[in-house]
Amino acid sequence: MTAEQREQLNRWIEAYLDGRLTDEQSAQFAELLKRSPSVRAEIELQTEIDHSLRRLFSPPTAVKAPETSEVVEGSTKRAESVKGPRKLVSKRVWAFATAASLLILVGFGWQIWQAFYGDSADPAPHLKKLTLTEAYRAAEQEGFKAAWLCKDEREFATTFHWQLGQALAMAPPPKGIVAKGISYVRLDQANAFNVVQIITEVGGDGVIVFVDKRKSGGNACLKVEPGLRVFVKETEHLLLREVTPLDLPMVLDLLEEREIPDEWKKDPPGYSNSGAAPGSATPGDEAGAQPPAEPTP
Amino acid sequence: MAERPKNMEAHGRAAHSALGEGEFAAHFQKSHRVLWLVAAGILGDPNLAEDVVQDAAMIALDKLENFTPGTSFTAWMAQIVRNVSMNTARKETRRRSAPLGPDSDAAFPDPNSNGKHIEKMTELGADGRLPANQTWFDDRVMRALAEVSDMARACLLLRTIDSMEYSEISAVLSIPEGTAMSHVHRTRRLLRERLGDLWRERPSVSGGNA
Repeated sequence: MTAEQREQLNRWIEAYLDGRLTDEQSAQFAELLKRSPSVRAEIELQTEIDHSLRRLFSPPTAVKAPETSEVVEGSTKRAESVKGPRKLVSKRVWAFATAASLLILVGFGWQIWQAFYGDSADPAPHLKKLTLTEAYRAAEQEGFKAAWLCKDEREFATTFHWQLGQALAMAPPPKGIVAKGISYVRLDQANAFNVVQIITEVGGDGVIVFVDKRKSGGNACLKVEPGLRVFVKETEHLLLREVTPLDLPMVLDLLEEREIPDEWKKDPPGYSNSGAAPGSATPGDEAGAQPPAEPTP
Repeated sequence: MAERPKNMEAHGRAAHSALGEGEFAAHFQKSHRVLWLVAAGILGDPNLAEDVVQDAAMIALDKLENFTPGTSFTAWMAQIVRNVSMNTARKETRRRSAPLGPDSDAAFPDPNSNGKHIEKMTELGADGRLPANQTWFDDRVMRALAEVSDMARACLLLRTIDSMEYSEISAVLSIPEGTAMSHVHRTRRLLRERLGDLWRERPSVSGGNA
């Protein structure tokens, strides 16, 4: 096909996609589609791209009102919640209040922080700030053993709710992926000891997903040493980084944010029904390592 | 017209505004979908779009007097959304590219993405699982989208997701209708070129070459 013919075909395809063909032209194009597998494939490809765009860029159905971040259904309630000037005043008040609080807290907080986490101290190994690579290698040295296994989806979801403020669900992994459990780790970009590691094994290789609050890390580290890769997924509230020796992410797609019932939020993870504490399951036990069951609808 | 709140008069900024806050809210709700798509298109990132639209709404509330009665509210707001989106995109590019060193993983960010990050925004299906090919394909679409201009992306999204006419896209983005059409056609073509080989060689295609 010459460049000119290709250009002409492209114009036909675009006119077809835009619905700008006349009846006669439509009939001609339908005939062309029957005759030409390559044109048919191109239309199929475009259709798939359009589907993909709709999946990727789906606008929210509920609209947030400005300022309050309150999700409202009707315009009346929305109108009441839009109060620009009040925001300006309240912003100033909050700015002063925050600054004053910070001044007071910094004095006391710094000493406490230094005592526990300061570089001058010799922190316990589990309190050391680690890079992604160091955290991965540390887990590798321990045979990718997790601190504990979640006994069910509730414990799994509430662990993330209590630690990061957002529950997480894990779909049942396909054959070849074993969920080994969960540990906490302190990464060097995080301000607190609140990054959750989901430790898995994929075909014998250790794969770890580090789950953090989406904005708490600021400039989230994406550096890993040669031989490892990092893949990233951002959900509405969480930042998930999969560190893996493999070429493709295998676990990220299994993880999604989820809502949990209010009653689940009352008890810390692991204390729901049986009263068993987290960590009661045996780390690394594959029989119990199955993921936190099915995601709750 | 909704009664103007007293505090607005006290600030003296909305005395000549043709648009009350109540009306603004109603217009905003009607336009939200289009504004969200404009933001997502300019940013190339659906995750940031809502925050940008909210920020733009706050700016617009402070500039209600700039809105000309009888003109398109959506076009007026879209201009603000575009500006906020472009500022945000610049900040995000700086923020996200900062920690990357020479030994960073080559697959992230994509070398063709001009520093923009590639994200995975796929949704679980009804059975709670992701079709294997869906994520794979969506990732490639995101990478290819990072190659086109922000305005071209916005045009494509408005056309594809909201089925807007080119004349409507032209009005919303303040560009000639022909330009909007050209953006859509060229972007579609580029995506097909970038994804064609991958689509034909995709795993588990039933019936051989598609």
